[in-house]
Amino acid sequence: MGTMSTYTKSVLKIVFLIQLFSMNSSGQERDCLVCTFPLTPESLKPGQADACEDLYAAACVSANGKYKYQDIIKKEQAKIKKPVVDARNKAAQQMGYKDFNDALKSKLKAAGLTIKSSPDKEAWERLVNPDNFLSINGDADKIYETAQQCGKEKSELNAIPSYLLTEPAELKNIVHRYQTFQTKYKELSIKYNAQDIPNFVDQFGWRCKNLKTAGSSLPKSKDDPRLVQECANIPQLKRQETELFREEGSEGYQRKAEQFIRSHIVMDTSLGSVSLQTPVKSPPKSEVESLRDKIKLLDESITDTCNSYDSIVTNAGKKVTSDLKKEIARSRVTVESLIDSAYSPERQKLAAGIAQSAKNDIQDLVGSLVKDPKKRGDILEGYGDLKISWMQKPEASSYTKDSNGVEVLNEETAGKNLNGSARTAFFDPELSFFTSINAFYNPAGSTGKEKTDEQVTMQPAILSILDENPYAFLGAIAHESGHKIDPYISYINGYDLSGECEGLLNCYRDSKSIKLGIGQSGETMADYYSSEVLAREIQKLPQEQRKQALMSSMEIFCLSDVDINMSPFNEVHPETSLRIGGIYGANPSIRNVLGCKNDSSKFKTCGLNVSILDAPMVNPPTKDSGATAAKGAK
Amino acid sequence: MIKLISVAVLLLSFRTFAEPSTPDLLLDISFEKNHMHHRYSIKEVFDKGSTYVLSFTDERQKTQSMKISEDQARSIKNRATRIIWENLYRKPASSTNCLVYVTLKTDSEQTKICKDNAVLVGESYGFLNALRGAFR
Repeated sequence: MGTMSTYTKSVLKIVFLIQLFSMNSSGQERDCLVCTFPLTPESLKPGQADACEDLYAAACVSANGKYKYQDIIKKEQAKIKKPVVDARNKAAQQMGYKDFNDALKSKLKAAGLTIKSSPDKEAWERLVNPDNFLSINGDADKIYETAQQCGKEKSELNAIPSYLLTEPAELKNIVHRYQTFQTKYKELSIKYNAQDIPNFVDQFGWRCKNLKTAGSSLPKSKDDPRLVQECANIPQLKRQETELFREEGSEGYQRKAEQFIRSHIVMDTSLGSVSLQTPVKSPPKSEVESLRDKIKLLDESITDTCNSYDSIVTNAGKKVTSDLKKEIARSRVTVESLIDSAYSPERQKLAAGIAQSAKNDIQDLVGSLVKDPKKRGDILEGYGDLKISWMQKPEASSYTKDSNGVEVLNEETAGKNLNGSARTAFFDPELSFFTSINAFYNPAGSTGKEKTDEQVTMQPAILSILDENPYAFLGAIAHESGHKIDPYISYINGYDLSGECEGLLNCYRDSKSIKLGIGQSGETMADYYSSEVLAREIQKLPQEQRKQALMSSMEIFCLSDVDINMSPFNEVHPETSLRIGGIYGANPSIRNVLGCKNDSSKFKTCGLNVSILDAPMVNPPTKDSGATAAKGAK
Repeated sequence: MIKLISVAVLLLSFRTFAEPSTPDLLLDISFEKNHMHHRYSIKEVFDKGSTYVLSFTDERQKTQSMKISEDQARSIKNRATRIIWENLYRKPASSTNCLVYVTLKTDSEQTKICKDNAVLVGESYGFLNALRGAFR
């Protein structure tokens, strides 16, 4: 916590360690594990409403109407990305570079893409850490010397006042300069295109497609006949292209790929030479006039040269970046560094302890909710087996040395040797498993003879929340554990609880509640179970801390509302303010624990008829049905 | 008679122009996990020149669309093409049963990435994550 003193931190750490070691052998805590942690500073700030009236406005919005988490969003984003940045730097250092940026600059230079002495910082950041595909184009001249040079040379040519020149020798010299310019960038384009044959073929296909007018298969009359012919030959060229693709990275590949492009493909006319023949039917012209015409044609033809060249350079740069990221992502240093930072033994013990609290509370809830003894028995027993997935370091035999001598995960054996998320997470060049805020529940399954355990996966970005705000982690893991008994997954798991949930879901469908949408029942029930767990844990705190504790547990929701990019939530979840205010804030158990005197005027109170031990019940449960909306005390 | 023919020709020509040209499907990606079906597509729409539309259809069949530039369309398609080529031309042939993780289709090629292909599932995961990011 930013506001905490070192002394307070030390004391809290000792209290936490005592808590951990006071667990009994079955892993069950004697008391509230999360209760020893400080509450978030944001939960202590006055909110726009009281938690009993509107939990969303209390937890996420300040009294002045601004988002409470607005000021810390950048810090949180950087904190989530830091382990990936650190791991990449560490891997680059092991490869002999200063850091990842240094490695990338060196690889780009080796590919003929020298970086400008002071590249545009934002453009560089977009190349290294693209947020999405929509923000990564048009940056070539901001990063690469060669792209900048193209623009400079083009401007110099455009600035020549050829119309003032009268000597053929001077004009011929200008024609030569234009042709030299075109040849230079044509050759460079061949070199960069050869580095990425699939992209080149794709771009060539794009040009062939543009030969046709919409709805017609006939080429336009002005189409280059050689290009038309080459486009007709695309299927015949496929074999050579795929053979080259297989050879990518091997010795001699670059030469072969350049040769292929030169032999078979008509270059984009803005990069190639233009026809300088005088039209046949034109009246005879003087040499000076003819040369001026040529210069005019050349001048027009280079208009798009640098734009086309920028696209080719941009793509070549992205390819080099992606290749380096791929190699680094699967390197042993990165794999072990990321696993060490996200899956430490301390975090594992704390996560397991909190998961156990959530499971105990859900089992307690199931005792009241499920009347059928067979179903109840199956569920209670099943929760004993529910594991939290914890990534382990792969065995040394899982690695092999790549062509650069870097120890990397062996692609051939990855499918068999690696388990769970580790099987695929390190083959994503962006390592997004480690930076997306997400968690999920998987029922047990089998494919052929391969069996997967039932488990809850909390991705590293959520695990990082554990360190400073275990209340939020408790809410998230209770939600995921709750999926085991949601109306859909309970059916898959062999104990259909759709009937038990229906009364409560009807309450949520009400216009005075969250107006539950189609397909949202599973997520809504998981939220409800999570709210019951929070009620049971928070009641172990002194009364005056309970509202702050509940608001602290809403941190992930509040952050996602400030920055939608941080949102792990898709459309099967109700909208955030409805989840917080209409499910958590409207749960009668929570309202009792908080000491809310009346129903909220904003959301109808909805909950199951379940009791929680020790809580001063404002609303004693009614016996009208197994699952109906409980009304708040009047 | 001549008038009738003229009217018919006129009507026919109107019909020709009134018919909207069908957009070209440049990319189609279909992904399903835990009963959650997502689909991404890029279409080229002809309307006074070409425009490109990136669409995302979620598990509730709700579609969001946005116009993107030709460069952006090419960039996205390029990444899909590389995954398709890696699956089609670099992977040894397999006779095992394929549990599909994602289906990728461009205007010229298509492939199914099987769940047992850890490397391409990982690469596709990053690709899908980036596509999803465009709609957040």
